[in-house]
Amino acid sequence: MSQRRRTPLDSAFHLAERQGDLMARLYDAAEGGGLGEEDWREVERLLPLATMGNIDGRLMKALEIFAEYGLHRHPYWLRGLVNRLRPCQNQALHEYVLKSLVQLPEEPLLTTMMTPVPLEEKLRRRGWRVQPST
Amino acid sequence: MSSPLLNPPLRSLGDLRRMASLLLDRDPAHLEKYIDYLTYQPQTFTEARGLLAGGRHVLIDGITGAGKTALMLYLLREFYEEGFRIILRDAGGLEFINLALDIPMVMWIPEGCSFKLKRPEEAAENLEVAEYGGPEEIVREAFKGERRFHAVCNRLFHPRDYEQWVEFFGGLLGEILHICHTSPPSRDRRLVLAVDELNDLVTSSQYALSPLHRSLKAVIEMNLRSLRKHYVTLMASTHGLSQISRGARSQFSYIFLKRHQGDELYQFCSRNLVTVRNEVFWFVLNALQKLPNDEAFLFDPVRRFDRVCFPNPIVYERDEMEWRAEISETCFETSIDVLDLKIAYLRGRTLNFEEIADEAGVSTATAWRRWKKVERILKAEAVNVDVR
Repeated sequence: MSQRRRTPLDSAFHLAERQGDLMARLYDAAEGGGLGEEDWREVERLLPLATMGNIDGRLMKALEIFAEYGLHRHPYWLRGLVNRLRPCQNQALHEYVLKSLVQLPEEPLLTTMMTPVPLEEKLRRRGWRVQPST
Repeated sequence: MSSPLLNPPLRSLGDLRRMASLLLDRDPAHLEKYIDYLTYQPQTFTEARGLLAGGRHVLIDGITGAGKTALMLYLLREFYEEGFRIILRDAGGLEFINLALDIPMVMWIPEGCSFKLKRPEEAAENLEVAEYGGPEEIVREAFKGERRFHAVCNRLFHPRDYEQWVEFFGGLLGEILHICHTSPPSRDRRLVLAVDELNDLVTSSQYALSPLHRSLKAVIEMNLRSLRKHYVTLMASTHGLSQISRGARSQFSYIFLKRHQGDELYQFCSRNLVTVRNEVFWFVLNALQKLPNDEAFLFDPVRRFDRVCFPNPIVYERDEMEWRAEISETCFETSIDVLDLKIAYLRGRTLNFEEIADEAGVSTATAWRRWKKVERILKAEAVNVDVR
């Protein structure tokens, strides 16, 4: 099974998408009747992914209190969690893009250095920026 | 289900930019720059079709046995098929006879000498051997004659006379320039001047063999632009890039690098590959040191580059041919005229060449050349003449 090659831009896109999903899920719960046990476990799984592990001390404390008192059932506290979460997510994306957390994927060199092009084609037929046929 | 502000549909790069600037709380212009950097890839594909239009000089560089002459013959065939007239300066290797297998050509040898090609027979049929008195005959025939391919074999008949090579080639170039300068530039006059082993004629300025070498170098570098303007293509092959000064090298539109080694290669690469990625630079540098004979790196006028391959056109090596050349004594200049006597007289007064040139009303190079000729003749005839 072939895996699609991801450019750095692609993976930043996916991170932003994941964060957006989590936020939307929490907002919906905050406007509705809170989160059930299953949903909360799902949110707990998504949290480190969306923040890339970038969770500050206050958010950590908040999560401990949520677990202790089961606050995920109450929309009011969920709204508070969203407010705590937003700066962490922003920080994560910021670092991901700017502080070279981006892993540059192995790109094929955009020259004909691996396979030489026929000189006759260069002189007569082929135009500019045409990839060599392999 | 979700609010559009928090989960916007991200479909395009523009969406991502807006989203990212929102999230990152940054100036979008700054971000723009960063995203452009991320998506930037160097493009290094050459544009070589202009080469056959004429007037774009070509330099072929590589070590001995790397296939410089083979590449030159390949390019000459392409030019010939485009309808160009060709003057080829042969460096004594006679590789051009491979092209005579199917191209009718004239081989020019000095007056009084003789050349007979016996094998390969099909090349001998196409080869017309003609004698020249001076370079003007060759140039006249090359511009107007029926056959379009002219090979000039000067070095074969003057094997050790370095100054004679330079003097003769200087005359040839002078005749071509004379025709160019006395008529308007025209695309119809399509001429390729191919010089095999330019390093015979032009040496680096510190090690000039004679004043003639130095002056020919200056003449070539000065007239590169002029030749280009008149759609004359100069095609040269050398052992070293330092034979031609860096400024003049920029007049060569296309540079072919064959297998090469050493400092000059590093200098060329470090100057011309400043924009490429680090690993590309090292790849090129390594590849150039072990390039097969039928491959080359081609640099175009804006120094994009490609690795190109071409079929090797050399079928017969010099050893596999059968030919006989006779050198006659008459092809060396032996007569002394009044100017020679005058210069010899002035030299006898222990003047230096600049003063002699002033007195005799000629250039310093001429005075020097004439004196050398007189000296040679006197030595050959073992005449001990006190010129005083």
